[in-house]
Amino acid sequence: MDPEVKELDIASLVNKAIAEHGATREAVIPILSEINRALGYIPAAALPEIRRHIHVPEEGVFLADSHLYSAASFYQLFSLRPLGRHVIRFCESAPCHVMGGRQVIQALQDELRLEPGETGEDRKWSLLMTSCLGVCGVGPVFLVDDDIYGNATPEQVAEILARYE
Amino acid sequence: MISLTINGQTLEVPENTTVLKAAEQAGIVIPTLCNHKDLTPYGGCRLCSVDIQGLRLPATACTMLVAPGMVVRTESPALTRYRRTILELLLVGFYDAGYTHSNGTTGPALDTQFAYWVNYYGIDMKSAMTKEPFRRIDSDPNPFIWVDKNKCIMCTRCVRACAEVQGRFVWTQAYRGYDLRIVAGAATTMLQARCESCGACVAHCPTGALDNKMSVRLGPPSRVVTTTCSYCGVGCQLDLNLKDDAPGGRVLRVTSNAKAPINGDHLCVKGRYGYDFIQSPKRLKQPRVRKYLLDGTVRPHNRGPWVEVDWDTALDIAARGLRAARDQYGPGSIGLLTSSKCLNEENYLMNKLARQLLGTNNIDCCDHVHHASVVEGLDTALGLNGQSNSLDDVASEAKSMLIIGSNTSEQHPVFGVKIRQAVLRRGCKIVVAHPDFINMSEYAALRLVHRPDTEAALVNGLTRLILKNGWEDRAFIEKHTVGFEDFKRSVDEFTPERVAALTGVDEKTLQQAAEILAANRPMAVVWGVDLATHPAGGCNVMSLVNLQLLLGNFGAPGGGLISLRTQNNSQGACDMGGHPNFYPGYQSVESGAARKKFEAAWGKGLPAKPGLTATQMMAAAAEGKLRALFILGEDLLAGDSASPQVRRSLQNCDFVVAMEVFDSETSRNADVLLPGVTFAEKTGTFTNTERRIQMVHQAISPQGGSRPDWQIIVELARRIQRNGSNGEYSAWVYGDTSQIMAEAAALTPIYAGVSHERLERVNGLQWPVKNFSHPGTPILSAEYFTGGRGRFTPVEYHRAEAASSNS
Amino acid sequence: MKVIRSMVLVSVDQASLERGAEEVFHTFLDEIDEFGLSDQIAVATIRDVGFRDDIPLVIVYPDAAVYGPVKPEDVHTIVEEHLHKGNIVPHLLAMMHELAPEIAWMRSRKGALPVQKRIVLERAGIVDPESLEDYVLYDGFQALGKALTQLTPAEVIAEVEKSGLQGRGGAGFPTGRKWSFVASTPGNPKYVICNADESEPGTFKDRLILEGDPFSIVEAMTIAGYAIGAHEGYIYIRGEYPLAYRRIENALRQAEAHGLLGDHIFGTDYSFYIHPHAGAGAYICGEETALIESLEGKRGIPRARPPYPTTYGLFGKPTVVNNVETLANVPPILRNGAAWYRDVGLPKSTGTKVYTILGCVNFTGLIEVPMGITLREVIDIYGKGMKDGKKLKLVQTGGSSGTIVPASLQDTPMDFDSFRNAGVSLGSGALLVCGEDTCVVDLAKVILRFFRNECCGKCTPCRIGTLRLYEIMSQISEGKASLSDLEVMQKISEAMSEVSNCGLGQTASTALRDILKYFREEVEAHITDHVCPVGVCPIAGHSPELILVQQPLHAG
Repeated sequence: MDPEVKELDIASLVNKAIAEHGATREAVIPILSEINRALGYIPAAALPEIRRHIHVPEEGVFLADSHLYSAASFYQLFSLRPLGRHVIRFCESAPCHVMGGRQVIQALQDELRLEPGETGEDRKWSLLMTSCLGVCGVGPVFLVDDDIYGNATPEQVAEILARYE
Repeated sequence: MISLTINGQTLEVPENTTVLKAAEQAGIVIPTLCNHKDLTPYGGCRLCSVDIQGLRLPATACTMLVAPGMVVRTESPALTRYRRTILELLLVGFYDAGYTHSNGTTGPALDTQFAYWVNYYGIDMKSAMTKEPFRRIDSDPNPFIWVDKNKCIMCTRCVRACAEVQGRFVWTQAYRGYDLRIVAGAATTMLQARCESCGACVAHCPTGALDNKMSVRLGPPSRVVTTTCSYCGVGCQLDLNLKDDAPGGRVLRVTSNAKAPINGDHLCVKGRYGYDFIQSPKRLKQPRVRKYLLDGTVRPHNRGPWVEVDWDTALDIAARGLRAARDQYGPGSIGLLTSSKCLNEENYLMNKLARQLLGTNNIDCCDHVHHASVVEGLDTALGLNGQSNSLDDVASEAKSMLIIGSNTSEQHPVFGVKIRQAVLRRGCKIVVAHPDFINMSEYAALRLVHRPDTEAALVNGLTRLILKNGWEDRAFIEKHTVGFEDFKRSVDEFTPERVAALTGVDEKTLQQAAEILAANRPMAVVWGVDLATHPAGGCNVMSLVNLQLLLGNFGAPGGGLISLRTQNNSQGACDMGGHPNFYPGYQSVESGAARKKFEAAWGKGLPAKPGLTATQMMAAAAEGKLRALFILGEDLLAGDSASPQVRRSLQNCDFVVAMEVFDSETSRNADVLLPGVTFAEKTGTFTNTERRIQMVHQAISPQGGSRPDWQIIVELARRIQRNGSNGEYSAWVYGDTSQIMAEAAALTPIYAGVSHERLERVNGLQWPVKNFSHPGTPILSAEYFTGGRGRFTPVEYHRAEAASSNS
Repeated sequence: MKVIRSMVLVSVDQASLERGAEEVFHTFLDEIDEFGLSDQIAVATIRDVGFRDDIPLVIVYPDAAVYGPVKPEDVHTIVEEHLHKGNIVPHLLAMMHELAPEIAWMRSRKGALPVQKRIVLERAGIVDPESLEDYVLYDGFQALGKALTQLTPAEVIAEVEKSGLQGRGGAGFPTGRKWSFVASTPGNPKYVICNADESEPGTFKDRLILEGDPFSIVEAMTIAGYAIGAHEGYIYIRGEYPLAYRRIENALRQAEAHGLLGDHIFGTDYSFYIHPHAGAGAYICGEETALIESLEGKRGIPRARPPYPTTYGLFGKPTVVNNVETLANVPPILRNGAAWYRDVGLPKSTGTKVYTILGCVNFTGLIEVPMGITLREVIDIYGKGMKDGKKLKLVQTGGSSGTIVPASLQDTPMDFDSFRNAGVSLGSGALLVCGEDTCVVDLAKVILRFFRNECCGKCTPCRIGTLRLYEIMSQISEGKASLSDLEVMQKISEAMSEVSNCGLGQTASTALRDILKYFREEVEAHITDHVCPVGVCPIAGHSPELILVQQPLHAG
């Protein structure tokens, strides 16, 4: 997830996303998802590139950069700035909290030396808070990238983090 | 009609009316903040929540449509509590640095819609709001719009105004919840987000979070004068906000006026922000004459130095010079250039001065090139002297448009925006023909990118395709045209292949264009100065006339020929006789009947031959045949038309009198310079491109020693006039401009029912206004054609060829 | 299909275990099996029976018979006489002159046995979710086949209406009525949307249906489409459920490949296409009009209503939006008939409900039971009692937007009506169980923080109200608030509940209001005494000396 993504990469990514989801307004969120997934975030340069494909006045479809920015900034899973190589999403909703979440987040903060929302200077870790992930039966829960860790305890934190380069 | 009860009052409203609008009708006020009559309802501020019988929770009146038998209560202790809570919550994240009020106290602005409701519910804004700013004040670097997000209440009126009124989509909401923020584009500066600085967002903002940089914190005005803008031919009305703390008053700012007939709350960057020229220190404040005229010596080569003099001296010298030229070299040696920016009344006086007192038809106005083509095209073929339909009916009803030779968004911004709205809201299909990618191209259903100066060939190609497919309106052609067969033959050679070779527009695109325009009627043809300003301008217009006659797009709203006149009074200047061939009202100088009428009115014999056009005047001056020039409010050497020939002509002309507001290249070549005034310092009328005559109201006193131009002309005339003649209107005695208009109206059939008093009452009339009870004529249908029939004019091959090779 | 007619509960609290309860439990299983009654009698355990001498207790449902103390050698008699022959055994009954409150509920409870009855979760965990063959083997696509070949759309709707099925996403709107409305609204095309944006904290029932039995949703949506006259459907799956999305995609592919979706389904005239769509992290997109906006490529902002999606929905067309669990009920209803469905649950709240049990219990997870079970039964029988033997303090029902049920109300039957009468909402079925170690201020803070994060920002009361409520609650938790702040919160909460634009704003302060209703003293202790009775809040400079066991106030 290199913050300095080249123009050509963005263009080809957008083309690929458009090819898969179509060049319509309804495809905007899936397209943004693809880019976010590939790069870890949505670079500003991607928006005019997406707009280029979808803005077709000849067919009565008008799309401005502002529309895309407003959609991209609304959804929690999207990031508009580059994140760390590994992104931790810690569930801070009531069930996980009641099941002992407070101690686990404290352990994560201590281990990473990051406050919630921060990305480390070495760009290895981003620690983000998230709302309920829908695995409440095994709370407390946190994600590391796509891996789900349930029944988490403060003692497990160090070992879990050590698994990631 | 649906019947409902609001606060015990029963009333009937049409279907699809909101509860809010219904309440308005019943005279009941419901508090609102995010609602605006120009914009789709949002339902975000929740202030307009009302109780509706049968519903468990209150509903927002702005979004709720009425239903039969609905019972609404707009007030209750609970509703008051909620509204107060809402306002208090808004003040939690609100900081207004304020300014100093007239009573010396500092505090937040009190005259915003937001402040009104805060005060109404008994909340002290200053103590309830945040104690410190939490966002940067004046956070955007653009030159016109002040952005202070400390005052933003997320009503999104700016977002909706930019989207729905301006069609530009600059503002949007980003993030969510309390982090919600209004941003421009993709969180860039406004200009980077392609803002056009029209100020619509400012006009719609209820808190002053968006304001005008040039006048923020200047406070409320002492008085407001509604007048007509002096920039382009759309003729927007606006409010000059004035303060009377300086003698004669000073301009604080311009605001829009929701009641303006054409533009409502909308203006463009020029109208809204281009007002500091009015009181610019560079204004000419004193008359000047060249030193040699005071000394009585021969004119030096470069005319010599200026000397500031009093008015009498300047006027005497000017009158003497003009009289001398007439007496010595004959009336044909004088030329007058009147102004498409000055009042109708002033143009009328110029025409009277030229013809009655100086005995010449050498009067023209400077964008003659545009006029010439309009005249040649519309007048010759149809007998019309102005566009056939109104801007509003085209914007609301046209199913498609051909926009050719017009960079509408730049030249007629507010009309350009109305076209955008037609595209975005109604799906109107516009075909934009222009060599460049202009702003309007972004909204086009189809672009015709043709080589410069090939418009006539392009349009001929379209008409040929229409004929080949049988899409012409046979009934209309039968009933309302002549010359069809000749014309039909003449377009035969403009095959798609030929057109492609000449214009660069391929066959398939041309076919698509013809389909769109023929299938979506009424269709309006819109053109502007880009089409008309070149030698083949006349041909171009003729070909467009042919197109519309072929498709029968006359008489209905949404059709017609829309020739967009460039300046604020281009139309009026011609209307008032600023033309070598016509008296006011397009009555030909060659017509015996017309000439007799004016001779009787002005008590003087009048020349029978058409005069010189502006171009011809310049040529004559270069050859030494034109000895005197009287120029009102035009800079011949401005911008593109700064040709060396024109400069030489001016230099060569013996005696040049210029009436101006600023120094210009032209005035540098004048012998006498008389300081006139801007539109803010005189009262009179302008006529916009849709033939609408609107009032211009004086707001401040003339700056320095300048004088209203009409007064200057009258003073000059009095000095030139020898003895009184005995026509009804031979005198030059006018108390004010309404008397000038009365005279012009009496002699001009198309203005017959126009008077200042009537215009004050009805706020605008479109000519022809046949008499004082005639309501004016928004649409010129086929019955207005000469003899009720329009003429097809073959646009000949070699002329078209010449047009296309003139690149 | 097993039809359970009786339930036996054996007490297994510490004291009972010391007196041989475990052996009693196993003996029951053996004896019931011996008598061939395993398919009719369910045996489960219960912990909280109060302090008694006559333990172990054995409680037999639905007769409300309590036996105790029960020894292993008594079991045979109970099984033969009571369970097999139907005669209660008087000499083994416990002394009931004072029925302990912990088991008094059985006398007043209404409703069917608290036995799990898996209707929507019938196949989850049993079939291979990626196999069309497995699905068909377990009665899959029978309902669709019946609908398309034997019933008219109107008949399908009539059956659903008769079944009494109500929306399971939280709103409880009668499903048949919604379909009927859209079917008769003019407009073309029409759409079916499956709302799989399950984001209510504590709720993961839809996930299990989507991941465990995805074909059932495909079948259900197609039936819905047929009923209302739609040919296109969308299933909006939250972005945090990638496995569910993949399994649905796979199900769509396989169904289409076999003529069970797409053109001419089952060789009939009817065609239906389903488009999967992933969300991107917004709780508000569970609100149906916000979901539609998101589907259209915009921010998930709820629209002004009316008009409702049934008239003006996706792309402005008439649209049915149904929750996953609601849809999962449809094929069984069509297969087995409306009468069968009505038999389950209560007359006014038919069918089953999926509950998720979370929090301070020994067993967290998912159960599907008929409507009418009580919280006590859920916690005791299925949650296997409070963790570490702590006392129950409160349960938040229906997720973070749900109501707080104090321990005193734990015997209220959980059906739409009873709950409504008690001022409690069922919501999505999430049950967050909190014991005496939960501080209500801390809990309220976490809940309000959720709404501040998820608020879309459109309307004033919610946008600023959720922030202010969270801020004030944080201040209370830090001991920095004053009593007047409680009035401020009350005022804000009232405005939010009445004039917000959507359900999020209307319910965001529900928990707060209930906490102030039932636990006001504990909240005030933070304010006036600067103390957190439970010892959780960061009230600076004070150690938690007092640990009060909060006695909840009764409602009204």
